[in-house]
Amino acid sequence: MKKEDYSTAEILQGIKVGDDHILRFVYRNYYEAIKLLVMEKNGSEELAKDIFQEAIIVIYKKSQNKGFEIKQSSFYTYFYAVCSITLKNYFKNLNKDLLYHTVELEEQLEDDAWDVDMESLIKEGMKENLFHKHLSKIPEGCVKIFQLVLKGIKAKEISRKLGFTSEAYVRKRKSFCLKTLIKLINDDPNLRKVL
Amino acid sequence: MNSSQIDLLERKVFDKLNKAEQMEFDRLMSQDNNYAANYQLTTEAFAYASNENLFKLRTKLSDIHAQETSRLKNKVVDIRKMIRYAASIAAIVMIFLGSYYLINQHTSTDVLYHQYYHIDDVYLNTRSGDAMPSDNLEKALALFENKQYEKSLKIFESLPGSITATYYSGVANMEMGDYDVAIYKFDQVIKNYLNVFYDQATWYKGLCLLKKGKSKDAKDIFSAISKSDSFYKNQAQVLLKEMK
Repeated sequence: MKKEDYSTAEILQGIKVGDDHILRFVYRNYYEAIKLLVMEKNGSEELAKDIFQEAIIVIYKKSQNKGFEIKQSSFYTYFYAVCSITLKNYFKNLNKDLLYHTVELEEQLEDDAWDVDMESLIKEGMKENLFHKHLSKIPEGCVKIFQLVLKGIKAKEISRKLGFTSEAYVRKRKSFCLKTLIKLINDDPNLRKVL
Repeated sequence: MNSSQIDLLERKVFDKLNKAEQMEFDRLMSQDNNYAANYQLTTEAFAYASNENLFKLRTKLSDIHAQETSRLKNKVVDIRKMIRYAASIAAIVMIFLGSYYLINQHTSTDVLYHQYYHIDDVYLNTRSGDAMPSDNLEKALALFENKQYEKSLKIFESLPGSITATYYSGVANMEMGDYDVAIYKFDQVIKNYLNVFYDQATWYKGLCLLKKGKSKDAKDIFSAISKSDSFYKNQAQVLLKEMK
């Protein structure tokens, strides 16, 4: 039977493990509210998508810490506050004038789970989001090659794992992928802003 | 960055620099801020890519967004389709009801038309309209009286300056069912109030409109006739009552 509602603890657990049903539940129930929040501040739909996603990522990262829980508010209230702070940081980085105050929301977070690493997590997330967009643009298989190389796996093994014809091809492909990524990063003005 | 600098960065990332290359790399890092920034971003992008769970989560969130957006769009399209479908049905019903109404209205105006239109009445002022009837006009009137309307029309229409010819050709058009042409010709007659066919042309124009189902326009004409000294005043008053 399809479950219509989840407790805050269940949602947190779902985000922690990347559960598809929970993520979809959060999206279906809260995305429109976040979109409204962003668009009311003259943000775009694309920005709303980023804010929503990055707020989930912040909660995902926090949920990796043992003992993380939302005690004094509902998941929605907490999530909305995280989205507001994320939005504030996006505007800051894009040099946009802040059109509203997030003091109240910050206080709300302070009451509950606001901590010093919230903003650093958001900033880290913004950068990762841009990396993710570029890594998604480079040809299929490139990320997998990077992941295997970074794990210290030799070209011969990578060739076998990914079904390439030779080690030489792995090296050639790896070089091509990296150069493509460097070019994308080099050409992205927004990436410089989040440095 | 030029290609050799990119090669150097690549070799650094994959930890393959020899001593000379390492020196060149260190020099670039200390002297070229752009190069240093690119190196930092590249290593950070690599670090991010190596976190497979985080990478997968972002990919999943993007996929969910795309799927849900598409689902909503389809939902909107479905709703629009339903609205269009409902609108089509409503339009068909409206057309059906409208046609039913028009047919009924047409039937009732049709009945009234035939009740009030009599070909014999058209001769009320025959042969007195034109001071000097021509041979052709005589010929056309003879054809008209013999109900040879099409032939009479050809001659009537060759006499554009004759009010009599214009009036009778309008009636001929009525007889042939060309009510719009008839209205046009009666309008030519009505233009000049001081002619013997004025009352008839106005009355027949009203009947043409009635026949065409233009009840409101017809009523306006009959209403004007009913308030005038027209020969058709009484008929117009009765007809108006029947039209209500």
